[in-house]
Amino acid sequence: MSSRKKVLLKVIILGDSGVGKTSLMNQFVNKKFSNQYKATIGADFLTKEVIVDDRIVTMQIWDTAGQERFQSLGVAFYRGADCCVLVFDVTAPNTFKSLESWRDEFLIQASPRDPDHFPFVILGNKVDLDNRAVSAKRAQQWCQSKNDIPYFETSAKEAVNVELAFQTIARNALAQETEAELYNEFPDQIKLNANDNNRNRDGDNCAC
Amino acid sequence: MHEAYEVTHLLNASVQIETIAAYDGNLLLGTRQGHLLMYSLLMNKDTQKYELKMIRYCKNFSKKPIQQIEVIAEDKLLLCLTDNVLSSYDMNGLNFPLVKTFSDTKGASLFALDNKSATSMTGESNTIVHLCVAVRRKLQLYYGKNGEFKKHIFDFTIPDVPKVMALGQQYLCVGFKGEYTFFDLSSHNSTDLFPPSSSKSLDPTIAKYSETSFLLGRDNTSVLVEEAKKKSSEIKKTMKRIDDPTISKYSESSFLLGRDNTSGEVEDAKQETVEIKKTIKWTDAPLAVVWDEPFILGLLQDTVVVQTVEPPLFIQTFVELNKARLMYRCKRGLIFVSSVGQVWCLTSVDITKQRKQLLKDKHFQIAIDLMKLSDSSPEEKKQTIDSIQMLHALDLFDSKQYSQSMKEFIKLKTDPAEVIKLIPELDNKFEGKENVLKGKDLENALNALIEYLVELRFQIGTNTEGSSKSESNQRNVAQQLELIDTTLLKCYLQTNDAFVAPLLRLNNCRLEEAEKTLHQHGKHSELIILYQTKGQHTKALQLLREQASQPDSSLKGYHRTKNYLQHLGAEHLNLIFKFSDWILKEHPEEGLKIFTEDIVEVENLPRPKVLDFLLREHDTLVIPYLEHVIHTWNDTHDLFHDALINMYREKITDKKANCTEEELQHIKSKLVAFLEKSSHYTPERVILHFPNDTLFEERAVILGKLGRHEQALAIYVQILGDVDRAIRYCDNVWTRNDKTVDVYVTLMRILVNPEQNNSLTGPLATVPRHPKASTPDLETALSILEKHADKISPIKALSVLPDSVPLARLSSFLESALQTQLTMKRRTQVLKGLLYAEHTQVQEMKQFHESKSIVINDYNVCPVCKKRFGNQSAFVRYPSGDIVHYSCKLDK
Repeated sequence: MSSRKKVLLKVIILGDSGVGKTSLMNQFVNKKFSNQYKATIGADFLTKEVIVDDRIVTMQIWDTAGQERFQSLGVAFYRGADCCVLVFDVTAPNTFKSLESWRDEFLIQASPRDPDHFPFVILGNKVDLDNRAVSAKRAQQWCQSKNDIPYFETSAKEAVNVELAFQTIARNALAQETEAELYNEFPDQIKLNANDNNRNRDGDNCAC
Repeated sequence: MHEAYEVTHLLNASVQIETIAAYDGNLLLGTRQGHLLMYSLLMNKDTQKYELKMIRYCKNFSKKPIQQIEVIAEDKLLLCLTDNVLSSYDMNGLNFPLVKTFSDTKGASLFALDNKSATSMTGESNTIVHLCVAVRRKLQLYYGKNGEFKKHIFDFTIPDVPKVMALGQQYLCVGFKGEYTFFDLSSHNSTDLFPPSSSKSLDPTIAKYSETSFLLGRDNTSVLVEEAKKKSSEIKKTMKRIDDPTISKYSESSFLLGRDNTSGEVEDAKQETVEIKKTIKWTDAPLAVVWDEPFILGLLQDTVVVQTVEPPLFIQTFVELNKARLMYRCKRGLIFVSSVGQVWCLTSVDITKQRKQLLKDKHFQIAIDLMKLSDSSPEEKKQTIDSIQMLHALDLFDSKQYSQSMKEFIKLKTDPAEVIKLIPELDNKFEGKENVLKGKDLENALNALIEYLVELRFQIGTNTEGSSKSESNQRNVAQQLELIDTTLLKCYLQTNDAFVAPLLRLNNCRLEEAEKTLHQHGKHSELIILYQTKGQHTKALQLLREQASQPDSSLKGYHRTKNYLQHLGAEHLNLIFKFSDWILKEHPEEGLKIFTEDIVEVENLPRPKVLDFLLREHDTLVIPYLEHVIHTWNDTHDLFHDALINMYREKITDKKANCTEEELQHIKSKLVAFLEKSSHYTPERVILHFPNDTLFEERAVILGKLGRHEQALAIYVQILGDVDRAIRYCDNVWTRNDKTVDVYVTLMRILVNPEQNNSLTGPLATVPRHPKASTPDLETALSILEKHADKISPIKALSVLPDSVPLARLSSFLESALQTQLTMKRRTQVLKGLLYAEHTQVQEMKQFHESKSIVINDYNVCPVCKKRFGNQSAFVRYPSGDIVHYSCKLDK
């Protein structure tokens, strides 16, 4: 039943300002990269269709403002997300340190049903640069300590691992989606409201 | 019961009232006989009742019945339809003198008016009037400004004579006998909506609801119809027919249409240009409908019924308005009702009084709507509305509509402390108070509160960024966040405790309260997070220590403590030492990871202090620690290198240590390898501690580092008797580019003259010599000589060898030595020749340059300073031939 349905996955990208969130999204969707930095204001989304296990799913990727003063979206924006991508810059240890609070803040705002198993994906971006400061091992270790979050080392500039990372994001988001469907099955079957509405209308129309 | 209006009987007329109109406080009556009467509404101070006072009575206004009158108050103009012609009259004149007769309107049956006051950019106030007149089967449109009317070229042709009409912004709504129709004023398209009744023949009613909506009568209901924001051409396709019309204007974007008792929404309404929003039911088909925000009034048989639209509520009924058939809204809160011979007025009850009743009845929305319309000052209005909304929100909460209630609180920006108080369970001092929420209700309330708090904390977070960052403001924000997060914590503990850890890590909770709550719930693991983020490390670690031995605790074992200590960092070094102690004792190998894990904080711990601590308390871990520091972290500090050597040495020489032979060998090999490999220890210091009676090999390595090759070689040969080792040692020294030292010669001397060797002095002198070492080993010496002939100086070698050695034994060595000497000699000769050649070349060049001469006379000028060269001045000649003063050259 569910496999026939057209699937839209809402993916949210978070992370400190300047770690490359917009660039990653642009690389994945448009295959483009620009060296110029332009702060994102508010949020913006792009969509892309990907194939996961013979299913076509549409990814709606929300790029957000890393700088707090440009964040304008309410709590509602985080709700209903299927996957959250946390990005840090491998040359800036502070952006790695922030991951924890980005994750916690997201969980509180989005209030997913099962916060312990909500799919996150961590991307260590800018691996093309020489002045690396966060080792892959250290990042991996942290991801493991947080319920084995998948970790990818990416470069939006050189398109390293970007495709692979987003494929994983889609897959994990889809898994989350199907799980949510299982939860919803029960209320779906009852359709109390729908029936009530119909009956009312019929009554109105015929009791003249 | 709520009373919105009061009715007053005003007049028993001797004339037959045909039509009424009103403006400001004035009422106009048009009679069948053609009389026009004008009254003013006054409050009688004695009786506290409304009375009509006649101002004018114009008996000869018309010879025919007056069909319809309207007043354009701003222009002091009266429009009157009589004898089927529309005319305008001047209100200022005593007997309403005629201004103009609309000659095109002969045969008119009905007109509709819509006027708007607009203030132009020059500050003048203008009234713009839209007028529509139904003339037989045509609709004429007029546009009026300052009392002047102009007719549109376009007329609508209509299928029937209209009964009622109302003008909206975009549409003209017309009620025919059998249909309501919308006419688009700009595109001239028309759209049929539905008939005023499905069964019997009913007159249509229209009430304007807004500029874009009307209330249309349909049987026993009024239907709220709103213009949608789409192109009018689509209306036809999508609007579905229903059946008989009552139209009256409801507001500026909808009409009310009369309909059956049981009306519902028009099907397919969703895709239409005209949307049906609502239906209001009456007990009977209304004769007339009036919208007097926020109330809708319907004139039924001898009664007027007052209702509200949103939410639909029945408010009030006025009975015994005998044979009333006309209803006219004069202004807000003043409606005139008349029959053929009588006039009543409905006046609004004082808003404050109404509000009290409405609040008592919990009709908050109506109270708010009423308040919006009141004449109070904007501040007062806002305050009152807020207080009503507050009551509303509280009422929603009491009626268990928690989510709705919280949404209201968000809108109201209520102090969160007040909201939180609504759920007494969250109060720490709460002890079995009354009005406790239970089970599902409590869960729903908590979930709604969580949603509210999350929204609020987001708003606080974003608002502060933009606004002024004053200190008090920030403190205020911090306090609010503290309250919100502490409350969220309590909520999560009761609903979904998986959120507790992320929340605590965000570090806004109040420590004491959070601590107490978590204790109550036995959330030890979360308590640790709280302590950690609040910097209460001692408490955290003590709790971890206690819980470690509890068999059913979530914090059982040493892992959490280890993890915790690994993240403390250098500033809490003493805590780390204090609380790592038990782990190091019980789980030494894992415990050591507190100091060796690949974590920034761990790597940045002050290593000398850690070493000192381990030496004092856990000496068995010193070697693994040092090995990690040196081999994994590549620390080059001599302290660690020295210490590791000392530790190895002590381990080997410690008689008490129960090491197996295998272990001992392992350590020995590690020691030797390290001594050879490491270049960061201080051999002078290390060697002092080495014993004189053992570890000779190690000593040799150290001596080598010190450059005391003779001693080192002597140990290899004379004490260890290992000549091969000695040769290898020499090879190593040679390859290390130490070519000035004659190690091979030294070795040969030791081999040939063991007795004369005095290098093993001091304590080593008494060490027993290897048995082989006492006899001279000439053969080995000679073989070394032959093998390394190119590396050994022949003169020094010969001086070492005893005279007894036959020359033949040395022939190969001497030959090769000679060869080397010859090679050297020839190379030197070649070099000499080349250098000589170079020398002559340079000399030739020098002569060439010296041979050049220049003449300077008075005409020569320095190109830099443009001056002549004086008698004594020094000058410079460039390769290009330019000549400048010496000082000018310096300037460049």
